[in-house]
Amino acid sequence: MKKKAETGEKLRKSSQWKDVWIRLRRNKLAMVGMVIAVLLALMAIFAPVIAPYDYQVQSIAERLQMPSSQHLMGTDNMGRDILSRLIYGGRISLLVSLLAVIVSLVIGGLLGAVSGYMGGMVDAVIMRVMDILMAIPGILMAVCISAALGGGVWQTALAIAVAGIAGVCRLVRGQTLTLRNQEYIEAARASGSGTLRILLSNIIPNCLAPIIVNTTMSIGGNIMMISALSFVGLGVQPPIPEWGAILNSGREYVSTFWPLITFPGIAIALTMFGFNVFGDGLRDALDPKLKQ
Amino acid sequence: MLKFIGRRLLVMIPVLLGVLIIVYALSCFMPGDPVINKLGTQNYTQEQYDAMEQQLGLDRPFVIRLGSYLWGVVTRLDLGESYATSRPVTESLAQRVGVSIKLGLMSLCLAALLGIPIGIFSAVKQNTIPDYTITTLSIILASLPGFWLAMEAILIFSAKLRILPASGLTSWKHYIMPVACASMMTLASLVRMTRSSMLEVIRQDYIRTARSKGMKERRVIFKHALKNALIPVITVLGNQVGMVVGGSIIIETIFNIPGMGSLMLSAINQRDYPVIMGVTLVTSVFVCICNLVVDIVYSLVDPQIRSQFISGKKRVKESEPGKEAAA
Amino acid sequence: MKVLEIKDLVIEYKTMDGTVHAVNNISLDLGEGETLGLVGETGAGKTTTALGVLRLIPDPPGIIKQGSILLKGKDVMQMSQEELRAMRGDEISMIFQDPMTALNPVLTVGEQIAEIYFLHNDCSQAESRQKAREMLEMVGIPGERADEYPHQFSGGMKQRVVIAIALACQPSLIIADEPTTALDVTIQAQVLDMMKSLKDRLETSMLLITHDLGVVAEVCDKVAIMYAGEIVEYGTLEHIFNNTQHPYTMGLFNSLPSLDKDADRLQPIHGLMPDPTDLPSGCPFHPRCPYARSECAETHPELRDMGDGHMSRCLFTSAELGEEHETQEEAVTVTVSEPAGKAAQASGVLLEAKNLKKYFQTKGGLLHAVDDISFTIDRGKTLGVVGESGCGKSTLGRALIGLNEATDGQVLFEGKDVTHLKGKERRKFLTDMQMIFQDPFSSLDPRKTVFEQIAAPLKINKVCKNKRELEKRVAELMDTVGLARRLTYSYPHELDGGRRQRIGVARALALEPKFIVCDEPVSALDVSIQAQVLNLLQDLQAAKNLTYIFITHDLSVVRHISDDIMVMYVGSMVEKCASHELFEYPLHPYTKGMLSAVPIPSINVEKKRIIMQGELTSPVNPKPGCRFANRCPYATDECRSVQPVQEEVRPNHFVACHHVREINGL
Repeated sequence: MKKKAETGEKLRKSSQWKDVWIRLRRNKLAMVGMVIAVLLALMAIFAPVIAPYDYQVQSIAERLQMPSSQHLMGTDNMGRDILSRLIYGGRISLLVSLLAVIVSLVIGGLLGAVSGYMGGMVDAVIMRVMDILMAIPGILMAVCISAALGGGVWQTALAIAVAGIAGVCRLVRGQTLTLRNQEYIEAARASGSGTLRILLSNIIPNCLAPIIVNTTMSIGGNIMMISALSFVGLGVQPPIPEWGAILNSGREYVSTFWPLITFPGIAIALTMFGFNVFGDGLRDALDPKLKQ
Repeated sequence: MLKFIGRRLLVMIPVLLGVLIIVYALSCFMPGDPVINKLGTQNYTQEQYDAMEQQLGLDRPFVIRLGSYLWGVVTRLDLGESYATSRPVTESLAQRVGVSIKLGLMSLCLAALLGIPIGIFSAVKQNTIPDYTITTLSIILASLPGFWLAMEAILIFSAKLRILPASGLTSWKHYIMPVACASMMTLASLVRMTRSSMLEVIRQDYIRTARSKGMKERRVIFKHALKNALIPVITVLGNQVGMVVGGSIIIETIFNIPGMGSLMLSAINQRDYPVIMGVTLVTSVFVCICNLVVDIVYSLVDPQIRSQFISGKKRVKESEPGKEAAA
Repeated sequence: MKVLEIKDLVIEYKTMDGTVHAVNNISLDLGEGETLGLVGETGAGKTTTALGVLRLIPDPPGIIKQGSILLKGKDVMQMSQEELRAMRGDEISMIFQDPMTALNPVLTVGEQIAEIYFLHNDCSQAESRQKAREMLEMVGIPGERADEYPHQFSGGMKQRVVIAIALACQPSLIIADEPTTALDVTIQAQVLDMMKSLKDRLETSMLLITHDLGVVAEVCDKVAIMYAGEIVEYGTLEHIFNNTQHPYTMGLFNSLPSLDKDADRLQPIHGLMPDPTDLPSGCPFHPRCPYARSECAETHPELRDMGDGHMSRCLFTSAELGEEHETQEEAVTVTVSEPAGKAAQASGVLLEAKNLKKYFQTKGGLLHAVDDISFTIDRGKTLGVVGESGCGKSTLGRALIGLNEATDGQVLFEGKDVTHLKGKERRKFLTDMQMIFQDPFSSLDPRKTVFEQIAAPLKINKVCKNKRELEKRVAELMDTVGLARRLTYSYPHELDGGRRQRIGVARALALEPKFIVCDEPVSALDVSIQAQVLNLLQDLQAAKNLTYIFITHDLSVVRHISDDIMVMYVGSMVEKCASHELFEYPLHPYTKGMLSAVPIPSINVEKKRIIMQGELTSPVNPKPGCRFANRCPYATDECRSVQPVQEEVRPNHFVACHHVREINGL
């Protein structure tokens, strides 16, 4: 360690993230997860280029075809190409999931940081509200909000986001509580830093590691929630292709036509797997205990 | 201890009231008009509409409706009448709640009773083939949504192999697939959690002390490491209660089980607010009680928490009173 | 027969950064009833050696590469797992450093003691439980507390429990790894005393691992000094203390501030312990050795006999070493940009505390952390504040600077009341008053570079007009505290404790304050590094006419650096006077007991020890009366009911004790 400090100064500035990256690269499973995540993102961005068919073109004559060289994953009950629908569906799933993660991160993160750092009444009030949110199972919460707001991309994102706020809030609050008693926070106060400055420049950057891990994992978890919502007929509405909605359309054929169930399921599971193992790997790589 | 449970039960009341308020407020945003739904036709006169609105009590201002609803719940356990069937919500809930809670509890127990021992086994056998197998399997299983598993299970075990029934809930065979599917994801994450918690504990100083006493490794693991390793696992279990219960409600609908799940879904389709609120309230009560049980188990495992409950006050660390108090 | 004989022990750890040579060719032996002190600084390989003896090196990554360990003639290296288990705890038992983590939090202490007895003796559960009670009584804890859990015991009590576990099977060898380092000085004295007498009673041998030469002088028969995984000097107490041969050992002694003499400057060992993955060629100490010659870099010295079994791993004897060379200290070049700070040479009272109180509301009641303390500090002077953990000394420091707002009373700085400043006024006041924190690890934000750490106060207070000026100022500050500029963009985790603490000093100096609260600034550092930082603080004070409050639990450090000393006990002040006066004429019974409890790193001083029984009273809802009454041998009913007020017993010597005159015959 000490020797490294003597080499060039330019390198130094990025060293912390470089260390993380080096540790992450050693973890094969995490790399698999990252590759899956990146491929999904690329697939979502370039969906029109990749998809072999238009996801909307119906053809009753070709409905419920088994996988073939023409339709790699077969066709659905309306004769649409399942693969193309899955590719476009990934777009929606990832978009909604990301939106939801960002919203719950910003709201939950701020509430948690304020609650943990200020303590006292502010903390008590925020935490009681979070208790209430935690008492309603996330999926039921999302179902209720989604039912209230109606279907649609934005509404679904909001429903999922609200369901995730309490979790982020608790995580950040816990982190803040441990950080608050660190001497460097006192040192910052002794240098004249105000509350806002300490929150933004000391506390939030140091909460970053667990937040990054949590966010990565939430992307996967949210995708499952979105699918579950569409699956029960809420959330993103047809004809917009969404994995859960496609799965739902297969319910009628559950004992007769497997591709309509298996392929969307694999898509959801693969995404969750990717983000889960990537998040796991990140957690290990960011763990300060392994630094030494 | 009893005092502690009593106190915790009291704390539950404001939380549940909060749940009711949130759900009630949300239900008022819901699109669709229950009055029209109730009338069952688009051809109605304004008088008919007003009469029905009055009958449902929807003509009063929001706060009054909320107040009288809460009053009814608190004083008479009255959750109102279903708009759709005009039967009291409590009645239709009573028929279905048992099934859902049974399923939920079974899934939770299965996850805990299998997940924790497998996790311990995996940690003890760290870096062996069984450990690798278990960790790999649990990563995969933790990524499979329960409702998809349920459909695949029907596809394989009911449609293809014809060994398990796909719907209903009449014999023990009917329980296998729903419970397995609802618990799988939690089971997998409990395995992972237990394993990593166990490995963390094994690194602690007091385990080194135990080894330096000349103890057999088995005894070190089961007497010294296990209880400590369970503490964070119990916390996770508490957080997962909601997930399992919520998940099993969705899975119910796939297996056509007459539980709260199907009630909830039909209520959402019919904008039947009282039923929606009833289901959510009952589920939240269940989650709260499960969390209370988890807390009690927690205190049994961790003597530090136990002594807090019994004496009702927290000990101040002797080392740094200033910081402790400031915290 | 020797109880323990280690020959050519080599232990390595394979890590991703390379092979750590933790223990290199160690040989030592220990006779029956003997105590051997294994002394060295952090990273010297002491604990690894101890774990190696028990074959408890975690494998992977560690391996015992070669060597033999003979326990009463039996080779531990050849033992089967079964034999090893039978040996651990029964023949050799171990006392670990940190009593807070060494006990299992979910088992009662009784169980944890009974267990080891049950394992190694053919007895019933009930008998072993009975034994556990006996053992507790033996270490001075009432037997009925056997059913309590570790968190219900104080640190000192926990260490007694750990000792009870270690002694339960009457082992022939106890390995004690820094057994008293985590304890307060009066508790340390109790525990050491008890260990010595129990060891004699049970006729066990002891391998005592420590960094504290004072403790060694007190309890050991033989000493081995370790450096970078090797034994560099080995001999009896007499050999090591009165005929020091190895330059490293000399360096250790010179780094220590002394209780009984005034030295202006300490002589630290310069530089750092080498990286154990990449040891220097030749003698591993030569880069830091003030006597190093060219052959030292080439030849790796063997341990050789300097006469009478006194071994030293140096190419030369102390007589041959000759003159000390000039060493390349990371020199302090204090830049006096303004005429020696803002208030050059001014004197008079800088800071005054009047009846300062700081209470905290806890669930157990009101915690009186600082209870009615008054004092003044003159410009350019240092007031030392000593006391044991929990006495409120850190809270006092924080209350002065406003980090913990005082509950009652006043802080006057240059005559202005600064007790309850807010917003802009407070920020302005903070440019005059700064703080250096205890823990060089947690006091620096891990995600900020050295530059950002030092620049933060400058940025917040908008001291510098532009980026160039800021960079220039930070570079100056780094020069001032002796930090090489190449470290500007390093992160704290890449630096050692001494360098981190220098960052803390630079940060405190950034705003050119007149007054600095130093909260245990050296207690986390090894002695050689501690001496470097203490010298730095003194040089800065001289150059900038700084005023310090120096909070510490270490009496020799406080004597070295302070002009006046205040002794605190459970929130209240018990004695305050000039530094030398306190050590020559301590008047308060607590001060006397505490001073006598400090182990002195010398074998030529005869000292009488007053062992104070009991523990600190709780500062939560304290009873009226003197806080020390429950431990004081002179306590009367008056002491238990009326709190004493401070009075000037001798000129400028304040004591708060009802009976101070009778006790001292004044």
